Amino acid sequence: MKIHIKNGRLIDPASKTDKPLDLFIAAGRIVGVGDTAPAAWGNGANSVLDATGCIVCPGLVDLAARLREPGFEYRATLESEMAAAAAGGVTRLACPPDTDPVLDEPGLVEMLTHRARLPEFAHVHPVGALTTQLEGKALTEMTELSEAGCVAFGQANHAIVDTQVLLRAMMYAATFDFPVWLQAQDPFLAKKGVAHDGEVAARLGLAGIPVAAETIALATILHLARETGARGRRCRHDRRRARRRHRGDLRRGDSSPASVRNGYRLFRCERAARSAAALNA
Amino acid sequence: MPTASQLPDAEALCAALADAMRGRIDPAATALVGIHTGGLWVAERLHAALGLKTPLGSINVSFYRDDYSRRGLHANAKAARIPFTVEGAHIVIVDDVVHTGRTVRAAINELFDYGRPAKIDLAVLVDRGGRELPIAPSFCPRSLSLPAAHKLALERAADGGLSFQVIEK
Amino acid sequence: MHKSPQLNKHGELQHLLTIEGLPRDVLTRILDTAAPFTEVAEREVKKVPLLRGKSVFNLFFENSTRTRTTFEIAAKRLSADVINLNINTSSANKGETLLDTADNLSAMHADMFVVRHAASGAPFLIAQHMAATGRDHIHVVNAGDGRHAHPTQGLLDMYTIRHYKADFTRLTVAIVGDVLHSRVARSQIHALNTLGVPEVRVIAPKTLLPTGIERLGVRVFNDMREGLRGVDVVMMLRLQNERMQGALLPSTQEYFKSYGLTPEKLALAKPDAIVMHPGPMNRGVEIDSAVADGGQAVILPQVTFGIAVRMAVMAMLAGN
Repeated sequence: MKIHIKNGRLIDPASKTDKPLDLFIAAGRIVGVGDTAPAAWGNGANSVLDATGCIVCPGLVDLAARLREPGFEYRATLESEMAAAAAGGVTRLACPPDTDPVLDEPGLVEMLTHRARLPEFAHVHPVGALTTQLEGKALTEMTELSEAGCVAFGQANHAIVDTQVLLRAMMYAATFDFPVWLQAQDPFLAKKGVAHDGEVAARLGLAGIPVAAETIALATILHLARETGARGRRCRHDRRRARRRHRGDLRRGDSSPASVRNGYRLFRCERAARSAAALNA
Repeated sequence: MPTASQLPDAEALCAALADAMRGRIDPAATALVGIHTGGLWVAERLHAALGLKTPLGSINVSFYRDDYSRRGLHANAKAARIPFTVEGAHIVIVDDVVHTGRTVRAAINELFDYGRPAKIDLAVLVDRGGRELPIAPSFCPRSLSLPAAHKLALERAADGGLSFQVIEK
Repeated sequence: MHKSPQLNKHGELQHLLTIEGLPRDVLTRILDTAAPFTEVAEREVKKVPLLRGKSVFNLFFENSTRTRTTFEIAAKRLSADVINLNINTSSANKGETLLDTADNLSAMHADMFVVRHAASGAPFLIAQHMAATGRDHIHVVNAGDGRHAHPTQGLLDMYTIRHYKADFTRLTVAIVGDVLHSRVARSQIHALNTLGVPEVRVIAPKTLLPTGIERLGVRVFNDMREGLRGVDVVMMLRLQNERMQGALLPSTQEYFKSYGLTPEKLALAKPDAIVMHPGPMNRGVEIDSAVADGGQAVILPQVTFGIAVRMAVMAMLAGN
């Protein structure tokens, strides 16, 4: 199957490309980039896509996409979420473990990956729970979960309060070189907060979360990561890297979920401020 | 100090000891037990010379010495080997020299922890006197006396030849 | 090099508190002395009179029937009088301090204390106290203190290795399991290094390894298959159930998968490698039954050697 995508703006961060370039695809592989067809292209493509005014880029990766299954099917289903993902250019998504039941058992992970094996849609990469029930007390069977398909382990937005458990969880994950994804938020400082602590929250009368909630938690995580080699281990060697080459992108974003979330919250604050200003006007 | 020519001839004494025992013990029913190390060398000679059937035994007496509290455990303790039944046996304890008699007493105590022998005899090359316990050899070809500070020791050369040395303590 | 409190001024063993700091020739002498004691067990009368009239007090502040029994057997085979004290159930519960207990017992003419305690350093404290109060004739044997040391176990393990492998200087030895909590492992590491074993490995997940363990002279492996390659001796450690509660491990099943000794993993070691375990074993947790009951395991001989080694230690101490 030969596909020719023409007239689009080709953006490829990995090769630092951002210019108008055509793309030539044959049998599922990119065989040419540029104005002219590659040598072995032959006569004509089976499919020509006119990408005028469009961006042509590698599939986007959503690092925390909630698929609503299992447990929250009243909100959405796997099909609807994955259709939405594909429509938005997301070809790979990682789903956090805070499903219902929590993704802390290999059987649940297998069920999810099996359900998600829908051909036209995105690839699903489950993030397993770091502690059972996300309670922050006991470790999950990470090697079993990894074999069932988990690419990393995390706590969604359930902080591990007991720092000794956090340390040991990271050490255990580091033993097998499993990535650990954590949100940096001190649960006590963030308790009942709904907005950044600051002028907007003060004006609108919203309970604020101080910046320290993130900085303190981040410092804890980074110190422990340095001590356990939880991150360092990933950078060395490694056999698993070859197997998970495609998922390499997913590994980089330990801190991005946190920053994306706070940015979103800030955005909401300002919108709330504008709405309140509009009301008062 | 006695000169080399005055020292007893160990090889000759072994032969004499074997002669003394031959005919007075039953080669089919007598067991020899040599005391490490010199007594064992002598016992090996006797065992061959007398054509004994019962395999040769050896003991070390380190664990039965009566001077343990003063001198501690001897560095060279070796395991005992008693490859026959002690219960009801006729045993000849073999040593190179008998002096105070304490070593022989320790050997008797050790043998009794293996069983109850029918009879125990003692065979030595040299009796140098100075007994501190009522112990007497059954077979002994030579007596002599030495100053208390001198120790009479049996040595074995590379070719297996036995000879006596006197060591000043 | 600081003077070891275990050796008297003649360099002889006064107490046995830890293997660390004991010179190689002292360790070798203990192993050499143990050899003839193995023979005593084969006799009709399994006794020698060395410690006749001496009183050995087993002070076990931590419960252990196994270890206490082997010390009791060893002392009785030396003809000693043995008194067993399980301190949980007596005066310590009423608030008597460790040293008061030791004082009271020495007033009853004890000659030797065999001490097991949950706090690292307790036997040292007792030995120091005896020396400071002019009671040098009382010898202390450490039967296991906290996570620190279990010297008689380390020695009997060395005796076992020497019995099957003869030359320490040509071996690669792997210690597998919960090193973090193990006094046995620490004693084994010191003994192996002192006796000249060229490569000592520890194999465990990071959560069960103490920080800085390499500084004790070991090579660390988290991957058991890598760690077992070409090994001559595999020393397994027991995994206690409490480790699951402490968020150190998820489950015994997962532990067995990555760190349990199965025939398939054992095959990566040398074909004539021996398998050891201090006991009691958790079958299906740290060791597969097929290996525990298989031809390479020397776990039962370890027990026999353990009595002989303890007899040797007590005989050497009491005679010094």
